[in-house]
Amino acid sequence: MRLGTDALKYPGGASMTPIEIVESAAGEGLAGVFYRTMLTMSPTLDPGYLREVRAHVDEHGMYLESGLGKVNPYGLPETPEVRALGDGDTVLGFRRMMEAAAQIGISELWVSTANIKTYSGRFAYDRFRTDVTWSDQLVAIEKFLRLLSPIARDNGIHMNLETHEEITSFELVRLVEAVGPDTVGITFDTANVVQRAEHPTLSARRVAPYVRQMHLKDTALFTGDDGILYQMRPNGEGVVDLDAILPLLYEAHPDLHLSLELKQENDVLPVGANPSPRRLEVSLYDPEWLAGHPDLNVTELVAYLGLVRQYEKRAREEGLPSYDEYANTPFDYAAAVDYLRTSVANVRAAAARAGIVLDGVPAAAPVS
Amino acid sequence: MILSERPFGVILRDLPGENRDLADALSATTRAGASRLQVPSLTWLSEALDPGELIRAGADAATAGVELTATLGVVNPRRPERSAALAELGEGSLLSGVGRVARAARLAGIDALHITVGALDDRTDTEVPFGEQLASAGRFLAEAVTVAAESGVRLVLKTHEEMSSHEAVALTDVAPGLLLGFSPVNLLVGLEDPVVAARRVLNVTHTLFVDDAALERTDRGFARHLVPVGTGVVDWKTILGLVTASCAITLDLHRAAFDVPFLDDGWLSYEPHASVPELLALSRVAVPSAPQTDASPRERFARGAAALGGRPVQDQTPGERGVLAVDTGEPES
Repeated sequence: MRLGTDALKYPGGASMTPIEIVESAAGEGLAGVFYRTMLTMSPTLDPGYLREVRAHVDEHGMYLESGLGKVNPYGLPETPEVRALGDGDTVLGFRRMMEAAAQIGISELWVSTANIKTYSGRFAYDRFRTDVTWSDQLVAIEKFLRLLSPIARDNGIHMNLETHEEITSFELVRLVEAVGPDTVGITFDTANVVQRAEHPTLSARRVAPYVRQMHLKDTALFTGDDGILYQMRPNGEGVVDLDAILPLLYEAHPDLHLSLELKQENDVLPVGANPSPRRLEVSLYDPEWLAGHPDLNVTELVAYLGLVRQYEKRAREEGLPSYDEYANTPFDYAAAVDYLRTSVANVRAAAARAGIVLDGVPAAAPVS
Repeated sequence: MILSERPFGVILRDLPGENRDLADALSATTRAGASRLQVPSLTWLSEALDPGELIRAGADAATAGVELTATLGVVNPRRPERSAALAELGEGSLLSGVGRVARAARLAGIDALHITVGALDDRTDTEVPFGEQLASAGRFLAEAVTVAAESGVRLVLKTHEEMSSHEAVALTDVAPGLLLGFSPVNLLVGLEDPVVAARRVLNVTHTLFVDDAALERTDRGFARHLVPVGTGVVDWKTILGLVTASCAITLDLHRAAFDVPFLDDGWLSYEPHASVPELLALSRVAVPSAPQTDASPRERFARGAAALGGRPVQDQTPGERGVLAVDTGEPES
């Protein structure tokens, strides 16, 4: 196992070039970088620049992972750059990204099924779109993955569906098994699953056979008025039980790359985004929410509610900040770096407790 | 807040005052505005089950305008120690005991006897699994219902703390003619949503037992705190709208403050009926701390009777003690 980072929310990453992120991550002692899509490395898939990124990564002995983007045809209009890449042919756009990835030795590519929206409650998730049902979207996703599969196979690539906010691990496993694990795998985000009322350790057990990429992330959970409040916290300081999850992932995939997904600085949110974080609420008590989770069983729900209770007890006993206190604390660059280093330390400690060697580059002088 | 204007009954143990005899109890019942009284046993009416005494008791109740009903007791052949008194009445035979009490009941004008299968810890009994206890109780009840019916008496099984509504309904299938006493606050300890449970038991419910409880979120799950009717989590307005017109309504004030430790390892394995929607329904109404309401039996009786249409204190004639000013025999707070 190796410990690296997702590039999208890397501290200061919004104003860095991909190569600068590699250099900075190497300086933090991280063993790899995971760019969300090939287009975030090079919007034109410039072969020369992509080779240059690869060279910098190789120079530090790091891993390099990337992705393709959304594979939900109902959400593709939200990423017009992919269709543009194919000169109007969306599938060609995906083909070009996969070929570019293969040319620089990337074989694991992240994909996901939707973007989270800025609405409150269940409408933040495309699972609850009213113009198209989630089951119709799942059918379309499966069909599209089948369309992309031969291209992936030809290029030796796995398209790894993320346990993203809108989809359950039950559905992901079914998608992988339907399309075939020779071309489709799972990017396991350890915290997103709680937004679907899943217990991260139980989710890990379900997805473990198919995990090929990681977003290592943690979250606090609080009882809210209409459901459960979700709020990112450094790895090891939330509800995700690294001591349980790391060993079971290691057992399935000892060479897995663990990429941290970090909390993004408030001052680099896109223009128009609300700098005061809205409440991310798991709308458990909404009948529509419940009807939209046919796989949720009582064993998982009890474990999930226990997770909330345990975190609230820990927060009380250890004086951890409440939801509002944390939300109202400025999160600047320095805080983001601290978040990264705390996460690294906690993951390394958990791995050490489990007897797992997180190999990679030795810690160098950290970024200032 | 009046939840129902239908006639309602009370349980002897809940009545204000000492009520050492039937005359006192009938008086307290009518003062509360109730028209039915559930006594703890037939032997409370007549220790020797003397026909003359029983007939007189029935006549006295009728004169007071009160219908009598009675508790038969625990019926669980796999836990004979819980049914010892009933078996003794049957000279060692539980079934004969049921028959004898049913005949006695009829003499007192009683046509329904209330039974339970056990106590909450029976669910987790490792020597005799609860499923075996239920199966045994079902076989027995199939016979007991017939024996009681020979005297024109129906057996009414309470959804007691140990009994889920699913299991109670299943017993009515095994023992045709068996009816249910639906007690929503008891079902909270098995993570049942009272309204959903009401729909399950609707067609076989003889008596609706009215009480209320708050659920406190704890580190082990919930704690059930008994509170005055109308101030807890039971949606009485909906439930009272669901039950049939013939369903008897009885104020029944529970005493036990149970934990519902569903977060404990292994607890769910004893509650196979627990469901996602019902757990979420209860989680939604659970509160972070214990309620601060006055939950003394005196207060709960007064408010419960008032909620069921008992005469409020301002309706009492001077000198008459109404339901909000009754003497429970307890020290004033």
